[in-house]
Amino acid sequence: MGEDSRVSTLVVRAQNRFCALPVDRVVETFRPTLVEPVAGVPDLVLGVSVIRGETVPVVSLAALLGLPAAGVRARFVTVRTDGAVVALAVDEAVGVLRFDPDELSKVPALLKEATKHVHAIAVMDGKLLSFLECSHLLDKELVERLLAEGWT
Amino acid sequence: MAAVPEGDTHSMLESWTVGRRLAVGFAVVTLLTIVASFAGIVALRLVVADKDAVITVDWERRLAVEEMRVKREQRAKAVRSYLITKHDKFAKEIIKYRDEMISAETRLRDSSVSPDERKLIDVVIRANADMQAAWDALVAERKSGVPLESMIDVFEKNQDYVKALNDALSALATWEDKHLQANSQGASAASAKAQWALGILALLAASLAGTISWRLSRNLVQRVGRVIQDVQSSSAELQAAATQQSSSSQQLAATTSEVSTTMRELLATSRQIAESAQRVVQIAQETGAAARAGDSTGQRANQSIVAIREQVDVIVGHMLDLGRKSQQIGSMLDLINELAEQTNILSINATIEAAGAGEHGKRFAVVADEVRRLADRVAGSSREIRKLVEEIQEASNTTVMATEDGRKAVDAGGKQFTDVLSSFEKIGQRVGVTTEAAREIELSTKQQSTAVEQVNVAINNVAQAAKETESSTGQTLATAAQLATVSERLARLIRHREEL
Repeated sequence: MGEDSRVSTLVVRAQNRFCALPVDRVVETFRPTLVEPVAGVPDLVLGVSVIRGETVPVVSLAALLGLPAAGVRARFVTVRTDGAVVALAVDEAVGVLRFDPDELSKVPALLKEATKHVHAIAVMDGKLLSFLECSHLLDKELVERLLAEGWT
Repeated sequence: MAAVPEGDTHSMLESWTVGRRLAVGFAVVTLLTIVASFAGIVALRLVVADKDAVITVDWERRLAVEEMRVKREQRAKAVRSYLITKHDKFAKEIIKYRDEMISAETRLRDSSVSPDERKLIDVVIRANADMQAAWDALVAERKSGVPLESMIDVFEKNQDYVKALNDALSALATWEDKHLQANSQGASAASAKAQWALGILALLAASLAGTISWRLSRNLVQRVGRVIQDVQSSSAELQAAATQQSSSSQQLAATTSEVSTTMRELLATSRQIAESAQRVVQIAQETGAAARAGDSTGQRANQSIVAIREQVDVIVGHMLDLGRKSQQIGSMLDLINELAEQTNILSINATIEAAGAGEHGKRFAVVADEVRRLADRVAGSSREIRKLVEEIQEASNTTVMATEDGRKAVDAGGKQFTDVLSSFEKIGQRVGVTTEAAREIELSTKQQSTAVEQVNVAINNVAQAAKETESSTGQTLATAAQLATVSERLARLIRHREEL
């Protein structure tokens, strides 16, 4: 296996949990913008925000990982899902790291029940690193409803 | 006139003096005597009036009857004389006696005192009129020349009229006698009643006078007895007071001797006080000089404190300037942080873009990663600088606060020095007052010494007076004893009077 087989990820932090996002899904990182809350949506959806002229749903990474609602949410990271671009609210964008697929482990059954979006785990400097599946962060209907009703 | 209650009357009588009671008693007796005398005079006048009525009225009427009898006889005599002589003189006498007879009848009738008397007088008047008519007829016949001898029969016939007139006059005289006797008895009875009334009145006056004199005497004895008791009590109190006064005089003499000794000691003490006051004046003058020197030193120290305060103000100004500069550094650090953060974000995005570019972006990714690391180092350095700046600001604030405390301490020191200077000034003033007061004490003490000497003389005079008082107290005791003897004799006299 050469260097091409390594996976590039953007490592972010939510509270004390580190999470790796596939770089090919990441659009950019930036400071948090104004978030408008939306009624009748799951708790992990903080609302919608206008980013570079487009309405984007904002999702809490901590809530996505099943962590309690806390943290500074110092960065937004926009990722491309299969349906639309979604902004993840994280506490810190650590940087782009590359991982060998052999370093990855399968998600234990217990952790898998907690969140369905983690597809692999690894250890980074003695800390647990969760690899996030970004293709289906939100249901398609929910995304459409957010984009349709977000500004009404 | 309002009635006076018995109690008030009694208390009013009790409040009267002996002289007043005697005067009132004699006045009452004199009044009774005057009343009795007046009653006697009135009774005597009534009796005299009754007797006068009997004498003047009744006897006069009785005499008038007798006078009528005389007139009748004189008229009969004149008729006989005229019949014998036929002289006009007797004719005139006949007319004269007739008129006097009629006048007496009329007077008696007009002043009759009862209907019975008036009836009797009317009988007399009718008999006299018949008699007069017979006499007139007889005189007329004789005057016409009828001889005397032929008239004897007629004359004898007229004796019936004479008898009738005499009977009427006798009946009237008898009635007047009875009336006279009855009035005389009435006057005697009134006189007897007056005598009885006068006797009873005199007896009442005598008994009342006796009662008044007995009450007066008894009251006088009681009051004199009380006065004697008071005199005896007063003489006993006087003796006790004189005895006590004698004892007090002796104590006073002893006390004055002690006071005199104390006064001499006081005189010596006053002289010592005067000497002490002189020393106090000297010490106060020295203290005043020291206070003035302290005031000068304090003035210099106050000037130094003012200079320190100015230096402290300069330090505070510099420290505040340092704080402001530190805040400017903080602002610049914020800007550096902002730049580092933006650089961090840009470098991460660049790394993301480089990763998306595949092999072509690897070198760019290396550069972007280096840029990110530089930004991280800048951020770390700026955090350290911020920490240092915060420590500088904290130290600056602490220094400013310490300097403020120092300035407050300097101010407090300055104020305390001002207080010290004020205290020195007050000390100087008080020392002046003390000096003046000590001089006044010295002068007053000298005056006090003079006064004490005068008091000593006065005490000696008091001692002499106490001895004289003791002597006069002996005389008072003798006088009190004499007074007790006199009151005892007077009391015996009163008791003897009461026993009588």
